[in-house]
Amino acid sequence: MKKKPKLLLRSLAFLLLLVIAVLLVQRVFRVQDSRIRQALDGFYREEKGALDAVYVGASNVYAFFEAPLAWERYGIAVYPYSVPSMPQMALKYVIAEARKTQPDALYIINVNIFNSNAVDTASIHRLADYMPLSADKYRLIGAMCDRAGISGTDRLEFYFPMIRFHSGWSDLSTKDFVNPYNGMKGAASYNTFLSSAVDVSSSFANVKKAGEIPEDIRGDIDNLLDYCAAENVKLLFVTVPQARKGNTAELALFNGVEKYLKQKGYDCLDLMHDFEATGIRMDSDYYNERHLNIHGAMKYTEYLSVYLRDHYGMTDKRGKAGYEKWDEAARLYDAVTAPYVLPFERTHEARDYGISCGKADASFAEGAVTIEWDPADGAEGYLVYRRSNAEGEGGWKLAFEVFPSGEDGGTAGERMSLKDTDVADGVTYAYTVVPVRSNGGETAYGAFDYNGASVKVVATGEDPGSEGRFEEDTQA
Amino acid sequence: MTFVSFTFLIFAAATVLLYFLLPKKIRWTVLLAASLVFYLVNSRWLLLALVACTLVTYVTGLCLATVNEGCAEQLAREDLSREERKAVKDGAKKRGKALLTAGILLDLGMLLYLKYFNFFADNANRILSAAGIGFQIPGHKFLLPLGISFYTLQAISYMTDVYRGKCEADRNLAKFLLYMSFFPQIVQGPIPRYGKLAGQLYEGHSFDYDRLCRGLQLMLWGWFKKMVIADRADIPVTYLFYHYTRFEGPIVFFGAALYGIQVYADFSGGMDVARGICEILGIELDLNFRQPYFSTSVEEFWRRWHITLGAWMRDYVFYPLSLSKAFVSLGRRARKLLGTFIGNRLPSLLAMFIVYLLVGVWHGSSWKYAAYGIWNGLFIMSGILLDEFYGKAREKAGIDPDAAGWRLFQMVRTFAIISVGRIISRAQSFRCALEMLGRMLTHWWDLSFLLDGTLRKLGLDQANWFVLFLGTLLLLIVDLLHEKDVRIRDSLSREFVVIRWFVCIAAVLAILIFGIYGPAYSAASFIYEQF
Repeated sequence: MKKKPKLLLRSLAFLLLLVIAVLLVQRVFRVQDSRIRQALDGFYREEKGALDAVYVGASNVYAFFEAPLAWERYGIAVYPYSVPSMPQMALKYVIAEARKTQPDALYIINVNIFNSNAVDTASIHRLADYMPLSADKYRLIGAMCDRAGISGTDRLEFYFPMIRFHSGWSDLSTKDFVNPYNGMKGAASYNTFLSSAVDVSSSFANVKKAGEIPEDIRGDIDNLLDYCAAENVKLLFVTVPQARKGNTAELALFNGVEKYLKQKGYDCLDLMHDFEATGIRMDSDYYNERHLNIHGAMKYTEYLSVYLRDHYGMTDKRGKAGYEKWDEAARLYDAVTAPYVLPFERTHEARDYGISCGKADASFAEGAVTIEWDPADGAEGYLVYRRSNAEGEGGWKLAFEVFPSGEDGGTAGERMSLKDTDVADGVTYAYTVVPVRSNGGETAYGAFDYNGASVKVVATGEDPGSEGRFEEDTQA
Repeated sequence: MTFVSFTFLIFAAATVLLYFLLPKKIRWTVLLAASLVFYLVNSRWLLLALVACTLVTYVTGLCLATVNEGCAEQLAREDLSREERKAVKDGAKKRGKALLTAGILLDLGMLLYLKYFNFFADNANRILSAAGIGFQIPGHKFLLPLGISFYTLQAISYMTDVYRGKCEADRNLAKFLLYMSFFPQIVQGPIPRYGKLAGQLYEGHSFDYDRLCRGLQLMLWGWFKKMVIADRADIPVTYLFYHYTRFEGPIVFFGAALYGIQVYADFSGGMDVARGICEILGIELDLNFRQPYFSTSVEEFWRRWHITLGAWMRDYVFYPLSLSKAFVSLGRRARKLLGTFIGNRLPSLLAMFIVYLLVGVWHGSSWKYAAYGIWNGLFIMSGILLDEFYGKAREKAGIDPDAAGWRLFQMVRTFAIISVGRIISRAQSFRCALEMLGRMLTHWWDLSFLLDGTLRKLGLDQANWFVLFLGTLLLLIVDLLHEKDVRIRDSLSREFVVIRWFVCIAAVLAILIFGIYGPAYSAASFIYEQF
């Protein structure tokens, strides 16, 4: 009889160890997506009640809004609780989950999420796999499984994602074991987002008509609104600018949803029809039709941050105790994005897209790199930025200022060029030329090539031409 | 709800918990309820077939007991003469035999109808068609009740044992239903004997912590064998046997050998899970495997493989046949006609042939299974007939029969014979099996498939082949230790607690990570569940 408590304790200790071991292993065998990992792991590290707003949604949240930049610029703490393809019906459960730690935050939702009531296995995993076990998680999985028609023990895989993902054990890499939270508050830092620019203007359609909202979509919206009304959740709806392959029906649906929300008295910010106000350009600020690249996201973030500050009284918390991690996030963000954006993009200086000099050429010969470009109509001068893959270089830096009428010389209308002699052997350099002109007393920056022209410096003097590639230091 | 499902895990845990929570006297009711639930979940209304078989067997048992008791009562009278006693005995024996025959025919009839009728009908229809007769025997569309091949043999052994007076008839129908339906062994055995199992089932066992640990360890090992080895091997095996026309030479044998590993890990894994649960409950199930691949002859293999089936065949088919009047008289006549060497052996050889034919067709209603049984039977018969010759040849060659090298050769030879037999049982049909055997013999020297990337085209990548290899190696090492009488769980229990826990947690994680389960895989059913 005396042995019984000891055995019970021993059994419990063993079970505890077993559960810990399984949970640790399970962290490796879940849906592998660093965007989700960074966004959700980071969210659960936030101090209770510290956020001004939580931006809830799918990829059109993390590919639009850069939380560290909003903090850096205006000291507002807005966190993106976003996972790819988040279904609209999950919003209610995600907000409930987020409100456990951020009950007074504003919840921002993109109207563009309301386009389908479909739920599939993958979308449940994307949300559930990174959500800590709780009653909300249980409710989320239950509701999503009901919608997806998944019942019984088939639901277990969402509590134990290892059931599905263990088969990928042979594909595991070190990254899967050691990939801690990067501290950037869910800011996108994947390669396509940072380095791609696609012209989507031909897919853009300016639809004004407000379409009918299908019953199932309306049901999800009402469900969400009822919950938020009952729980007194502050909401802001934003229609983000997306090309959507000219899918006019879908665009009309968004208009319809926006109209419906407005009728119900909710705040709606329509950036689909007024996207030019943000400065986003269809020809260069997207990496695909639905997602902005880093350049577009910086513009969007700037616009929304100002809007939130002005309309929701969000105060500047920079320097406030408890927000040190946000300062750190901004520093990290600057370091990661430096090779991809020019300094004036970050500070949102005045722009004038009417002037453009296109892509420059760069070549190496006789110990110097020659950069050539076509002059831009209306440009008063050119700022030549340089970046390199040399250690400690950081990112784009202003290397030359060229004003044709000034000391550097040059004649308007002829191809322009300059030589960069401050180059080192074995290093790849990239150059981009930004035309500028004076606009009401301040410098306005024209359009420029985001990637620039690359050239590798080779000591033998042999010119490798422009084939040298700038080795991008990106984070997935 | 198979042994490798999460539902089964919960079900087994709930059963064990409830079993030990209830008073000892009624603990058997938990097992009965659990067994019926298990059967219902798996087979629904086919439970009726099990209940029918149970009723027939139970009633037969009671009738046989009445006959036996009546006989004993009469024999207890002192006023009976010797002739009268003989008449009473003969009469009881006759009545008992008639009852036993009726009981067996009814139980066997159900099995024959449900499992073999369509096979007979198909073959009969082919003959009728060939003879130009338009009449066709219609087949049935009933599903095969889970475990019918096992519980029918169990029922026959019970009735025979009651008839022989080896055990008392069970008078409690509910308890007897538990004996017939006990969930850990209903799916794929082992085929129990009433005298050994029933008492253990009805008795309420106390909880024992060590037994719990040991039972769980055995279950873990069973799951490892099934999920990591067997179901992983199933992927290339299925590919090879399904696309056999693409392969020639030793890769066909490789597939058969791999199937041998698969079926062993699968069947013995299932047994370990069943025996593990029973160990937790305090019930000891019969051992069904004793390192079969260390056998030095086919005959030994069948004493180590599916032991309870072999023992059943020995006790209820082989001995009754070889000792029957007909066989004895056959032996007598054969001795006169063919000499003592053949004459002495003929009844046993014939009985042996019938036994292995039955073992073959017990596995399934197809000619390939009959051929599979005959293949094994022929090797065993030739072994008996040529034993003396082999002995003399070995002596002449100066081979020491106890030398390790010779024994290893015998093991490899036996494994090869068994593996070739597996081609017959695993092939899609007997015709496919013959074609595969033919293909195996062409380019038999070409081992390039091991290195030229062919293996990776069979559904497993390099990493998975490596896991399969390591798993098989572990299986071999464990069997080797068992063969040397090293009890691994005993050794483990003597280790420091940290080591014990580490081993157990590592085993759980190995199963969770390397096991074939979940939606990304379609885990294979237990092979013997289908027989």
